[in-house]
Amino acid sequence: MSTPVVKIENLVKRYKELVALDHFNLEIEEGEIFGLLGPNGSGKTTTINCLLSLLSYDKGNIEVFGKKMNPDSYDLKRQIGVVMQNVAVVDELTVYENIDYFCGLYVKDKALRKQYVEEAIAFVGLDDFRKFFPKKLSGGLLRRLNIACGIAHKPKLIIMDEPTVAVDPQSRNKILEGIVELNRNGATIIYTSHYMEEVEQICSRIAIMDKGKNLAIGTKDELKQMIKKSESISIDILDLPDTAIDEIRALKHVYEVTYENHMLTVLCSGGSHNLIHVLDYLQQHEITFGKVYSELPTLNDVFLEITGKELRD
Amino acid sequence: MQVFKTFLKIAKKKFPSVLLYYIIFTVVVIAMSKIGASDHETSFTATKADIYIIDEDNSTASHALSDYLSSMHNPVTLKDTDTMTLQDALYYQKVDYILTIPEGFEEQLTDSDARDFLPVSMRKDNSNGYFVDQQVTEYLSSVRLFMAGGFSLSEAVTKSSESLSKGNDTTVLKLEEKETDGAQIGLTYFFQYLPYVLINMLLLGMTPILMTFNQKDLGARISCSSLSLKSRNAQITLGCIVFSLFVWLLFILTALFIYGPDTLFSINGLHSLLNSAMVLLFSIALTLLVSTFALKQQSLSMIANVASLGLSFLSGIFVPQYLLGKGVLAVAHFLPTYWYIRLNSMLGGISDEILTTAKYWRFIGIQFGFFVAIFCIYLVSSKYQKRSRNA
Repeated sequence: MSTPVVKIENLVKRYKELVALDHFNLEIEEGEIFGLLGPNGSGKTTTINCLLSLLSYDKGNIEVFGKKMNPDSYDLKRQIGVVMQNVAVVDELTVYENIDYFCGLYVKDKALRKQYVEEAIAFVGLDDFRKFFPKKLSGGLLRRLNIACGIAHKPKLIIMDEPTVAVDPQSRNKILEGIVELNRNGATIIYTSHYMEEVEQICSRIAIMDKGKNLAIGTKDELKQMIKKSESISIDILDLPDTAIDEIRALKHVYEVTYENHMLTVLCSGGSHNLIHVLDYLQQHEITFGKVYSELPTLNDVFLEITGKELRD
Repeated sequence: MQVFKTFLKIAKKKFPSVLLYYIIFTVVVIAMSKIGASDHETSFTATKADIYIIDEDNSTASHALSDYLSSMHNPVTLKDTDTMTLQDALYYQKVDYILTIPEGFEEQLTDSDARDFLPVSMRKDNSNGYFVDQQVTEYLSSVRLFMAGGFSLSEAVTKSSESLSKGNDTTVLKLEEKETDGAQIGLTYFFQYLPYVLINMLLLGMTPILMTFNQKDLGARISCSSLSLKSRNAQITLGCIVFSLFVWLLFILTALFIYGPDTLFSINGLHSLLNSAMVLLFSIALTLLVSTFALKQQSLSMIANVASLGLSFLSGIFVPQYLLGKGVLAVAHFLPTYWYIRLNSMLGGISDEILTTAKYWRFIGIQFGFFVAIFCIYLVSSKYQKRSRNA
């Protein structure tokens, strides 16, 4: 078994009375895009800061590339790229100068650095803005610059802490495509977000966090299988007899039926033909229906079922 | 040297705004120092009174007195000796003192009231006349003493003239305005205003750069990199030194251009240079300390104004120390600029205090002590900030 790129064991971090990380455990393998999903204040950024030795912690152990991570582990830090939640660039430097500056913190060779900077600019699509100062860039372009500064030195491990916060959909898609490409080029990526769609879209494995704890971990399918709900069917019906509700509830795999505001909602666990069974029942009983919706469970459903609250709370 | 290079890049972009301060301050400082340099220094120089003697006695004693006074002062000649002419001569200050030696003066000489026997005319508002009159009294007393001691009249007058004239070619010290060494005084005024400019330029020029590197997010981003904390701090320190020295040298070169190498590299000039280097150290420490606080540009400008103006007014940069109240001076003792200004005034000779080598080094030491103290406060503050960030 290969050594995990990141191994966090029993990590405890307290801010006075508040326990930010409560015996947190995590293992990330090489080549993964690992998503840390959780609401604001769940401990994602604290985990990242502890991992990067920006924060001291009360208990536990952190290893990166099989070595213990300390504030002076400069050989390890050389292999890590960081994209902070808040844009961290120098306002007085241009786009090119900023990327060159951050790349220069890792790469001493001037010619190589120049090549890396050019590649990073091309990668994030800032070629037309290389002489722009950060204050002249839009929010999306600024985020791209932030990413370029973090990845220019071609790190093996890239940590991205909510890189798409306050970014327009077009820039967000560009960023997400870029992350997948970085991964294809061999980088292991840790991606934190409270946007479940993003995590679902790009991450190969996901950990769901809340109150400093790792609630569940696995692929998105594995996570969805952990919960009871497998399908949610919504049907627009003008008039539904009360007896029908009980009869639908009695159908195979159905565990919850509600009828409110002319909308029938049927929740099913397991099974692959639940929608057909429900529609067959309505036709057999000559119940007129309008629009039909069928939704597979989301990570929000997973989070809701595990914690009892919405992910966006 | 990535951090150092970036420090210089930012400094290059920030410097034009600071340069404006330099230009304005330099023009003001030069103007002030020129005004200061053209001030006339009050001093005393030797001069002689204009006297006119009417000798009616025509005796040995009267001749001796006339000769004595003529040797000490300027005997003038008048066309006539009538009262009107004499009064006109006094009124128009052609003469300071008119002495009439009446007939029978020699016989009266041994009497104690011989002085009253000599009628004198002089203006009451002319100090020269009083001084000559005092010399006449001294002369007559001396002659009488010698005669009382057994000397003859001729011996007494000779000895009196000799003894009173010995080592006393100058008879009257007249208040006069004298031009002093303009360049030296100018340099003194230049260095006097230097702390105000230095503190402003370093606070407004260097603090924003340091604050950029101290920004929480940017600082964290650098901490994530493979650059060691020691190397980062060393490069920032080097940047501070280069920036500060550049600003200081800019002023030194300005002083060199205005006052010339003879003045700047004179003993006093070199001592002043070392003194200003102490202010530079203090300004650096103050800048480092201010940079540990997350400030906005407006707050920084306010702090720069309060620090530079406060120190200037309390320490005697704008107002001479002798005009400051006792309370203000008592407070000023706790400010390094007070010692700087005191020393600068002594070096420039615009202070009543006498400068000794021991005093010079003591004052330099005090200023260095202030630098060390503020630097230590900066280190503690910086450590506290880092600790609170990592907590």
